[in-house]
Amino acid sequence: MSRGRRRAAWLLGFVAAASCVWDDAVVETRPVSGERPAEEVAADREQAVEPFVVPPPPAPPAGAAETPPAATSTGATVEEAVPPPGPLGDAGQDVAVPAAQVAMLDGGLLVVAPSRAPGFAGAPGLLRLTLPVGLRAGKPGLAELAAEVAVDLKLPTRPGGSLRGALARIGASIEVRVARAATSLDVAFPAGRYREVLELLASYLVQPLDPAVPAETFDALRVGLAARLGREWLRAPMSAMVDRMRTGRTRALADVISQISLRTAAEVAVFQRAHYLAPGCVLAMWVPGATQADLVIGVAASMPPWLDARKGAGLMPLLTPPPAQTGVFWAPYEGPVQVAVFVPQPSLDQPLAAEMLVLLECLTHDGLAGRLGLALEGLVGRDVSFDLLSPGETDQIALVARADEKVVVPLWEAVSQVLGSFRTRPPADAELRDAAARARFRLMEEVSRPDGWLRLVSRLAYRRATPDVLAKTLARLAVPSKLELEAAVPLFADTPVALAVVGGEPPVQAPRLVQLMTDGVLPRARAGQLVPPGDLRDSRKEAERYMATAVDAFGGKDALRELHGYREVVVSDTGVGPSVETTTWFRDDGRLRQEIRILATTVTATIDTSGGVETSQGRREPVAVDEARSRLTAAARHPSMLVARFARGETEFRLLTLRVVAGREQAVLEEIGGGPDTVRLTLDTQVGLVRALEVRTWNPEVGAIVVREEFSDYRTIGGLVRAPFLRTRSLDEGEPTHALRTLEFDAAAPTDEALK
Amino acid sequence: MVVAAAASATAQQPAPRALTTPDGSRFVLLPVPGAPPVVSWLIVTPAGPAEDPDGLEGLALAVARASMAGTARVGSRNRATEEDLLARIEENERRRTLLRGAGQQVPEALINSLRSDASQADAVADRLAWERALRQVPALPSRLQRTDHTTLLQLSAPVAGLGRVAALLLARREEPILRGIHDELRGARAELLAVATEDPWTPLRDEIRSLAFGAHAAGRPSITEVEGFRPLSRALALEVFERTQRPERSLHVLTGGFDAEMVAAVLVQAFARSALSVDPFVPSPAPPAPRARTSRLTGGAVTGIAVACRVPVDLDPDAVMLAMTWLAGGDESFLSRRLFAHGMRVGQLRGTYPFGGLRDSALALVEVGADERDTRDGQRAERLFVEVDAALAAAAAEPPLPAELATARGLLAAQRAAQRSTPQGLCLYVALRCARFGMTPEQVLRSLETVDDAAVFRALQEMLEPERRVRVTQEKKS
Repeated sequence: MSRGRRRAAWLLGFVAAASCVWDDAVVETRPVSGERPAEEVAADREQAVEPFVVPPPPAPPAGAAETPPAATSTGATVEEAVPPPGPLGDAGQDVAVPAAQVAMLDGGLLVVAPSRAPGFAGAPGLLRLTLPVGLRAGKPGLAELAAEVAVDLKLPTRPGGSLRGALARIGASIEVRVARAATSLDVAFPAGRYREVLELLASYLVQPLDPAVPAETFDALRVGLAARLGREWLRAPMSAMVDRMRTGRTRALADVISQISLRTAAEVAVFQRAHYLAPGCVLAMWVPGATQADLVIGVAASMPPWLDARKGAGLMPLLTPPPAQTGVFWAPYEGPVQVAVFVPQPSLDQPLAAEMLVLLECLTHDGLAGRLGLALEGLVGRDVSFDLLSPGETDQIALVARADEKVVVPLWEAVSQVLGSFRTRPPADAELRDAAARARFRLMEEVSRPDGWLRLVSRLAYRRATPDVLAKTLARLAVPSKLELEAAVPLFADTPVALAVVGGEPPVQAPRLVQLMTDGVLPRARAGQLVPPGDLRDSRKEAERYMATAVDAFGGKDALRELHGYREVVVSDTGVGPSVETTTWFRDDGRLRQEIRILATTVTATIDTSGGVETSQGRREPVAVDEARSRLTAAARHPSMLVARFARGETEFRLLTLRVVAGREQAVLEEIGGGPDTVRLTLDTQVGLVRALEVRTWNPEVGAIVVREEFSDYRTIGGLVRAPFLRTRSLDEGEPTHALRTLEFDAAAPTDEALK
Repeated sequence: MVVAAAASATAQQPAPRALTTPDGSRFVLLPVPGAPPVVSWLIVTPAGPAEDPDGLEGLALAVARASMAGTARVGSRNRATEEDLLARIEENERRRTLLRGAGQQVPEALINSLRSDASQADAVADRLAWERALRQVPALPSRLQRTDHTTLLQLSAPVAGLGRVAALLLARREEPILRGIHDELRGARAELLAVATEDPWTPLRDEIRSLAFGAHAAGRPSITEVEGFRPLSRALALEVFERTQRPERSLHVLTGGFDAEMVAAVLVQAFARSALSVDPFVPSPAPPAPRARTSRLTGGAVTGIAVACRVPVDLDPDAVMLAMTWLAGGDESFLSRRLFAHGMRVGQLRGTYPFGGLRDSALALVEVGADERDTRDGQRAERLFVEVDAALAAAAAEPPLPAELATARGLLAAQRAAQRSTPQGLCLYVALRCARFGMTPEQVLRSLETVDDAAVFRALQEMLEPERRVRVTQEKKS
């Protein structure tokens, strides 16, 4: 999770949002190609701007592994067409790298800083405080909410209201990010005021959230976080997808948001108390003009009582990257199709780091050509460029490009072949030299940026690496001929990669290959696969508790276990035109008979899973298999039947969220593995009755269809099973269009005779 | 060999170096001793309404983007064929625009012909050639970004590759062919249209520009259609390219671990002459002098008011920015506190400076939106108008309290610290201020503490003079 540096933090004041900005001063770019800007323009009028991506023209696919020189109209290479002017010395064998120095304080805080940070006159200072607690800790949504609270919760009793506000008063700004295993606070500040910054950080971190915080204050923050996550998806779906994949959040966004909305102030307080402790944290600082010794003294003097020496140094946690996900993850979406290839970023402390970096360059070539680009060019028949997204806080780079959905599966297959090509065709001299130069420059560019340097050294600290690995890797990359590629190639060829797709529809012939990622209005989720097992287990348990109430309310386990069908007579009224009376005989072995009466006409349908026939006035018309199955499924979703299936253990649910509607608590449950549609029940938790049923169907031709039915007037049938006698039906979240009144309901499976 | 740099870095930092190369290009060099030999290079060039021909809004941005798809020499596989195809595309695009303008159906044959020609033109071009050459330096991928009134081309390269990067930049500037310019224009306009459509304050801002700048190009409203009404010729596109990309209208900012003298020498050698600046540059006429005007809108998505003040040219931009931060920067700002004290519920408060894009006629804009929770019907905009007007008069009457200005300094300094915390951000920060206000690098980088309270008060008094204000109110229909 990341936020704009100067996002307005006036959620709780009487002014909803206030800011003062340069009209055109600061520019953000879209994070991935072809997307709308992610940041909220209104917050500070930072006009979001598109980085230019050269549109790929059709051209014959290049077959060579090495990047060919660009052709010119005269047949000359670019080098000939644009001769380089003036010497600037050699490529610079002596590379000045700000060397990191490390100190462990008594309180267990690791302080890392360059012995003296370079910077232009008046350059700001930066610090990164990394707390070894991330998205994987605690209940879903808790780590993000705790970070949000730590920085932005505004209380009148605190100086500046919030940490952000207090820092702003001394000219400092803060940005918070929550990754899989760590939370990092990045602060930029006037270099001379680092002690005040440290004091403020310590004073806020030592004081976890008071659970008695006013409910509206906490809710505003919680809602703001959930709303922002939702907006990010809507505005920049590929960017949000990349973020989700790299942080391991394969659960549906709606679920994440729902989980955040379930978190309480008490949970956040407990979380902060348990995890926001100095022992085990890394504080990396870059303050031009200050020495590392100055900074260590400053930290020791400014950060008590957060640095509580009595707690002891403790053990520095070893933050190892979780195993990377592999496979194809697809989020159907209305919009251009974008593909992201995720490749692990080699860590500098691994034995063959330089070699792995070089091979990665051979693969990606900064998003233009490279073995991967050439493979894609071969598939689409023209030049293709990727946007290369650096790993940031994660362990994976992402290469993003627009592509036709038809090439996704071939691309996935091609990625394996490309990785395998390193075994059979190791980089040739020219490819190796080019890749080594690029890898070296990329690393040099990262350490030349204070934020990049802080990020690298913080990560290295958690991996127990000595800071000199940076310099060593750069030195090794400077001499490509001495790289041990033979040893690295087998490792690299086995690199786990993943592919994410936003837009389009996955091909029907590859259901086993593709995992669907769904959000908001998008189609169904295969919940069993997409939700982490631990979380799924918890939400199943909670759902079971509520469904047990429903089983009791609908007649008890024994009665429901015997409920294998029903006969129902329903009158449907739309307010326009005549009423329709429908008699349904349904048996859960997949047989259905319906008589539909409109005025003087009666249509009789006899249906099973292989199709059916409709008869009216002597005419017989076949019912298509799809239509037959659809009607069978709809009949099987009678609330009593759904609860009966649960009572027999034939289906499962998970809890999505709890809501309070008109003073009554309702649980929203989602069926797991119940078929191709997403089925959600809204259950009155007090009486256990199903109040609503929502079915989301994805139709390739018309998109998402949402049918919602609301139930009331429950009656007990034959002293056993309960069933609703009134319901309204609405389509696509509109107003109810049908009122349905049940005239008769027999809670017994119809006979074969009745079904003929 | 790799050496630790710690010892070599010193607290004594060299001053920024400003230079103008023989072709007229302006450079600011910000060397950082002890930093790795990496250079961040940003070029800011003008774009925006003041540069766009009537009916072709977005063209200045589009030509900058089109220039990234290779040059006349770099990126063509068959120059003669490509030129023929581009000429055919131009003619067909002209017909298409005229037909659309006349309200006629564009024939399918014409559309197919355009598709076919574009496809063939792509096939004989190598649009990635320039970018590929850049990466062979090796440099990181270039990024072309925009603000409301500029385009920004950003690169990172090794210091040793600076000369090669300079040559490529020159090739882009001097040999434009503007491949795909018609599609780029449509893309740029679609983007501008989306921004305008999504911002509920667009009608108020358009009206403010119209009141402040009249018939001047800067006073044009936001576009409402992707397709322009005027046919675009390549000659006109090249004219706009030359006008906006010519050396004296661009500003380059470079920072990193380099020796300023050495880099300056390379730049002077590389940027020696330009075909774009043979004719002297003729600036656009200035907009009319400011005078007080008021407009009332009804409908729209928000209830609120916008007040813009023409900022006198001689005011220190930092003093104006501090004044605006004190006035409208956050919930501790003067306006926020005052409106609250007067019982006004405010949904949004935003101060923007500079607004309007013109260097010598910049506006300071204050926007105040009614709180949507305030369900009192009727005259919410009018009440805001009265209260804000009185508040602005009060702001100009008494000097701000030192403590309040200290808070404003903190907020502004926090923004700037964040902006300047990366080499790329620093380049952007310096470039935009130097370009917009003609500030020297030293002025841009000075501490806000050097701007005294009296200068801030003077800025408030001068810019808030009633005859400099244009005001727009909008009452949302209930």
